Amino acid sequence: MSAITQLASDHEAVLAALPAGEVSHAARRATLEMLAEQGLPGPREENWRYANLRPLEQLRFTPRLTPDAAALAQATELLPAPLAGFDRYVVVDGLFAAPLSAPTGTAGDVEVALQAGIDAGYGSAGGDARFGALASAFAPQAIRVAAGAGAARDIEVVFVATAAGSEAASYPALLVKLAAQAHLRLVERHIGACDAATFANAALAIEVGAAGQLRHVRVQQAGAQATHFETLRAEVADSAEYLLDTVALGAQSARSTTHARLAGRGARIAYSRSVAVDATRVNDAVVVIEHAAPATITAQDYRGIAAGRARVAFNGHVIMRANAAGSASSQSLRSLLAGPGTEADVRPQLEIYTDDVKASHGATAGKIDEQMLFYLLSRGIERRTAQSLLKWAFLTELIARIPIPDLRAQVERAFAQRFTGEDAAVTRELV
Amino acid sequence: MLKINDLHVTVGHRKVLDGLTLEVPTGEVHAIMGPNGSGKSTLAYALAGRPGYEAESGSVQFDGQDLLAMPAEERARAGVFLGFQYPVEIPGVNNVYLLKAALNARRKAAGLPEVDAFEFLELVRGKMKFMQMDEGFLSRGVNEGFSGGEKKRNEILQMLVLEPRLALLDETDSGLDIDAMKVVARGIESLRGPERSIVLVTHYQRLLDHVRPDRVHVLSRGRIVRSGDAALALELERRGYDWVLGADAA
Repeated sequence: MSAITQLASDHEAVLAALPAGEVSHAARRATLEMLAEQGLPGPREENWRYANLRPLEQLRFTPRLTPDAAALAQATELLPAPLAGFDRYVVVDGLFAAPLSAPTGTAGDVEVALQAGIDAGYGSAGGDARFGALASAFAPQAIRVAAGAGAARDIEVVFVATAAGSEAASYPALLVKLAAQAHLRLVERHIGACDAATFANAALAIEVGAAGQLRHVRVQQAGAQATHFETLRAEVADSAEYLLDTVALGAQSARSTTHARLAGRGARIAYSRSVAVDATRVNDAVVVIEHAAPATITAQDYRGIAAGRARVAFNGHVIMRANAAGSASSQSLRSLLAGPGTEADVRPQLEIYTDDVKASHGATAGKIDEQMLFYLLSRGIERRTAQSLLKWAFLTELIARIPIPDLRAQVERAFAQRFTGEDAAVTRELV
Repeated sequence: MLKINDLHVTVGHRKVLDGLTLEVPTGEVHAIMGPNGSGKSTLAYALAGRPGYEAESGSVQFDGQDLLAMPAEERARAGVFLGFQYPVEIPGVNNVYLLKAALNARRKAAGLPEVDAFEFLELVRGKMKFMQMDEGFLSRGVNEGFSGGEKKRNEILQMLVLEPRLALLDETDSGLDIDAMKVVARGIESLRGPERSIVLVTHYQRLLDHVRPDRVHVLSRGRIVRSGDAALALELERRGYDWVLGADAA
């Protein structure tokens, strides 16, 4: 059965049991019809040619609708150490896990609430947001975070996938809205059982109000057999900042789609992505940043390392609309091939409709920097050790920017575990 | 200690060293001077084992060993140190890690145990104080965000910690203000001793006011065209390279 037929059949079977709160049954059905008409993304589409879409053929799209005690117990085991000062909320296989979470409701001018499904424009979104539409059609729940100007809480949302993808899908869904002047630190994690071939399809919608600031760290540590897809949309208002650091080191097949819009004068986005994959894993990301107001700024940084026979891909697409005069964007996209059978595709793309902008980009796909290597060798460091050091240095350059020391240390340790053999001996001393 | 005989090196398609012969006895400080493009940095790179700077012919003996047969890291462990003209930035690898790994590599080659962590920090702190460097440098990435002068001090700091047998300092004086020059020169002088040799590659006399060389060699078109004592550097400063090169052509 093709993926699209499977998903139509799964939807038909589950629709009546899905909640009809935020997203009505009619809306869910309309979304499904749109998807059936457009089809799911395929490898012939430019923005999907590097993604591994094959696992979709083997998956079921039906979400879990009732909590599973065994899954909850498993999630408890999998949870990472808490981050000092953060209120943690846990979602297991797409369902909120109250026993593992801080209380919902409003505290410190931040409201955390549950809602029955996610729309946020995804319901009618085609194109590259089709997996967001898929979440809109199926997701039974979403977490909504609303921060006011006096926001005084740090929030962590952990999405755990345990169910086998051949039986059920999980739909992590998160809406974050910052009022004008609000500042918030948000950590979003995706973790999973290491041996289960889980399927998670996450959808996020972010709004940063005028002069607000969202510091958002996303960590994707899905299980080694997992299929992990995620779609994020963000809108950033006047003089607001959205600082998004993403880290991806899990999943057999991962795809991250981001569309961020700088909607108000002086809005700014700083995006970073660090990726390390090995074996036959595929990690693909498409990030579109749209400058739709004057004097807006973006910085995009990517560091991807592929070992074994893995493939990393990153398409950083910057659009400068006609009304984006005085805007600036910079891109530094680099990948490192750390094995003979690896593949990297790193593409900066600029689309500019006004003259009065500054745009710079640099992209490299290659091997270890020879000058750095010679510098280390000239200090007597063994060649193999020097190579390990430089791989580590390449990878951790952006991780060093994660503004939460506990989390940064956890991420470094997770990356260090990706290093094996002689590499591991080196990273043990560095972490 | 160092015996270079009829060394030929081609970089890319350009012949840079064309039959260079030079001997640096143990305990001496030699200065290699010469105009731009004469082959000074190429000589330093070829001796340190940089890829792309391999010798086509000729020989280099270092402490009786065939230096050209050794890979770069082995040369370093045997006691050859290159102070880079443009030290490389390596974000993500901190200075203290590099210093310790480099020192232990050298000790291992000499059959010594790894340095004790406490003793190592004491050693490095002492050297940093001597080089007037802030201890905060230790936890930063190698040369990351350092000014030109800080990078050069860091090269000398590494040299002081590693105590090489042969130090090749490639334009260590370039980009330094007068005060930094004095600190760097003091660092070099402190290493001068009967058991090691120092080769200073430089354009100008300036550094040699602070580190007096035993011998000065003028390099032109890939070979030594004149050698003399420290007075030769002063003469060059006064009369320019044309004075020597003109005589060479004649």
